[in-house]
Amino acid sequence: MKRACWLTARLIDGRASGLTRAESLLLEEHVSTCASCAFDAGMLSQLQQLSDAAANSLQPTARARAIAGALEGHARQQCVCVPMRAWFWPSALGAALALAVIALGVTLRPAPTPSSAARVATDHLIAGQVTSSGRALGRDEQVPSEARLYSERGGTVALAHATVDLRTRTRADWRAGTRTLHLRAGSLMAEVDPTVGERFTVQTDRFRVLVLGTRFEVSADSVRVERGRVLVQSFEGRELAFLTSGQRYDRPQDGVRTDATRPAQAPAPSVAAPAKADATQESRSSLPADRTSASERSATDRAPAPRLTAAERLDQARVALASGEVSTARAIVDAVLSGRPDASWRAEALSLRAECSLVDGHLQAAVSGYLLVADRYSKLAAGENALFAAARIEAEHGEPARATAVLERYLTRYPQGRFVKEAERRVRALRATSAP
Amino acid sequence: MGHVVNLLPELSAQELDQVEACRRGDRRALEAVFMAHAPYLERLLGRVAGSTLEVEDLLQSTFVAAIGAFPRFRGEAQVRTWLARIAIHTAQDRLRSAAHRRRADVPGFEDAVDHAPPGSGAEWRIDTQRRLERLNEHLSAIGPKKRVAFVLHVFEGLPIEEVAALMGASSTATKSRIFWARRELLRRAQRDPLLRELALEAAP
Repeated sequence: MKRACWLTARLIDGRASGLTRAESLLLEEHVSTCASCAFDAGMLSQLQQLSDAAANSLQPTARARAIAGALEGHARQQCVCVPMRAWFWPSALGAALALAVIALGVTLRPAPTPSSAARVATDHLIAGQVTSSGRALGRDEQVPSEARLYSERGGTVALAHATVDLRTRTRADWRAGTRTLHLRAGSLMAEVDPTVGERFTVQTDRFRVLVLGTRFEVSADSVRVERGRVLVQSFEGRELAFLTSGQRYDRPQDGVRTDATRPAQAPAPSVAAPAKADATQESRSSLPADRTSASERSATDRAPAPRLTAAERLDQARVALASGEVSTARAIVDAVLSGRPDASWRAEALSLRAECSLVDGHLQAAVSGYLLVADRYSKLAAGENALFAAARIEAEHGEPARATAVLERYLTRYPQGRFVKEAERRVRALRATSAP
Repeated sequence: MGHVVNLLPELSAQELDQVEACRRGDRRALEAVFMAHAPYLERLLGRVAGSTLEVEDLLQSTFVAAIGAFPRFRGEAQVRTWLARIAIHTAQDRLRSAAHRRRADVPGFEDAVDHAPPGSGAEWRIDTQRRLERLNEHLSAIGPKKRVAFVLHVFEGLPIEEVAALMGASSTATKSRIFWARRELLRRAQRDPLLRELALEAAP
C-alpha cells in the first residue's frame, strides 16, 4: 500500500472522532485523487450507518429484566450460603440453629418477582412531553409512584411492566402500588409485557380494564385490543366484556364487536348486564358484523371515533405500503385526510403520503411532502421525523448541499432531538466529501 | 487534628456515597447506578455484539460481574468507564467462546426500523436488514480484539486512548488492531456484492 494511502487509511479511521483542519484537507485532497481511498471512505461511511441502525437501546422492560436478573442472581448466591454452612455444625444445637437460619433465610429472601424491581426501575418518561402534577418530566426522569400525568402533545411513559403512549391532551392518574392507571381524559395505547405475569389495570370513570400481557387502546368509552386479552369490568367487579385480539368494547351499549380489519379470534363473549350508569341502554349478546353501533351511540358518547378510525386505517395503509401496494396505501391515506382528523393524525397521514411517493420513486415529491409535515407540525414528533427523513432522502440521492441545509435546520430546531447524533455525523461526512 | 482530603477527584461526593453503598451491596444503590449507565452500556454492547438479543444477556452478565467487582472498586475511574470496561471484557469473552454464533436477529432489526426515520420504505428496510446480516458476518470473521477495537473507534467514534483504556491495551496496540481490522473488513466488503453496491451508491 502506498504511504499516502496508508496515512489516509488512518485518517479515515479517525474521521469519526474528529480531525484537525489540516487532516481534513489532507484527507479531502487525497480522496479526490485516489479512487481506492475514495471507495474505502465511502464504504466505511455506509458501514457506519448500517451499524448505527443496529446500535439501539433496549426496551425498558428488557433493561429492567437484565438489572433484576443480575440482582436476583447475586441475592440468591448470598442466601444459599447460610443454610449450607449451617448443615456442617455437628451439635444438636447447631442443627436447630441451622433450621432457624433456613427459615429466616426463606423469609428474608427477596421476593423473586422481577416486576417489583422492574416497577421501581422503569417508571419513567421515555419520549415526548408529559407533566407530572404540573411539572414537566425530563427524559428518563422517574415518574412518582403516585402521579397526575398530562400530555398536551403526546408522550410515552414506562409504568411498571407497561409502555403507555399518552395521546394528545390526555390526562391520567398513576398509582404504582396497585399498578393502576386511571384515564381521566383523552386516550392512550398500552403495551403490557406478558412475561412479568402481573396484572396491570387501566380504568376510566366508567369501567376497568385488567390486562396480563397485551397491546390495547383505551378511551373514555371504549377499549380496543390489538394483541392479547383483556377483561373489562364494572367498578362492582361485574364482567362487562372479555376481549381478545381484534375485538373492541364500546360503551354505552356494552356491545362487543369485531374489528372489521381483523378476523375474530374467539367466539363472542357473553355480555353482562349494563353497568349502573347505563341502565337505560340495551345489552347485546351477539357479535355484530356490521357497524350499526356507531349510529346508535348516545349523545353523551365522547369517544374520539374519528381518531381511532384514522389510526386503524393508517395501520392498513402501512401494511399495504409494506406489501408494495402503493396506490392502495395512497387511497387509504387520502380517505383519512378527507375525514379531517386532528393534527397528530393529519401529520401521520401526510408523512405516510410522502412515504408513498418515496416508495414510488418520486423523490422530489417525497421530500416536498416531508418538508410540509416538518414545517406545519414542527412541534409534533411526526414533524421531527419528517424533517430528518427529508434530509436522508436528499443525502442518499446525491444532493449533498440540500441535505446539509436540511440537516442543519434539523439540528437548529431539535437540539435534543432523537436523531441529533446521526444528523451531526451526516453533516460531518457531507462536509468531508463535498468539493471545497 | 488533620483534615480529610479527597484523593479521588474524579468522583463527586454524591457519587462516592453511591459507590460506597454499592460496595456494601445496597440493592437500591446498585439499581440506580445500573439504570443510570444502562443506555450507554447497551449501545456499546450493541455495537460489539451486533445483536439485540445478545445485548440483554451481555448486559445482565456485565452487571453480575460488576456486583462482584464493586468491593474492589476504589473510584480510580468514573463509574461509567469502569462499567464499560467490564462490559467490553464480557463481550470479548462471549465473542471468543466457541459456541458463539452471530446474526442480525429480526427482533433487533425491528427495533432498528423503529429507530429509522419513517420515510424509509419497505425496500430500504429489507436491503438494510440483508446488509446488516452481511456486515455482522464479516465482523465475526475478524478476531475479537481487532473487531472490538475497530467498532468502538470507527463506528462508535471513541478516541483511540479511550478504546485502549476500555480494552486494557496500549494505544499502539489499539491503533494496530484498528488498522488491521479496517483493512480486513474493507477487503471482505469489497468482495461482497451486497456491500460493494452500498459503497457504489454512496460514491460521489
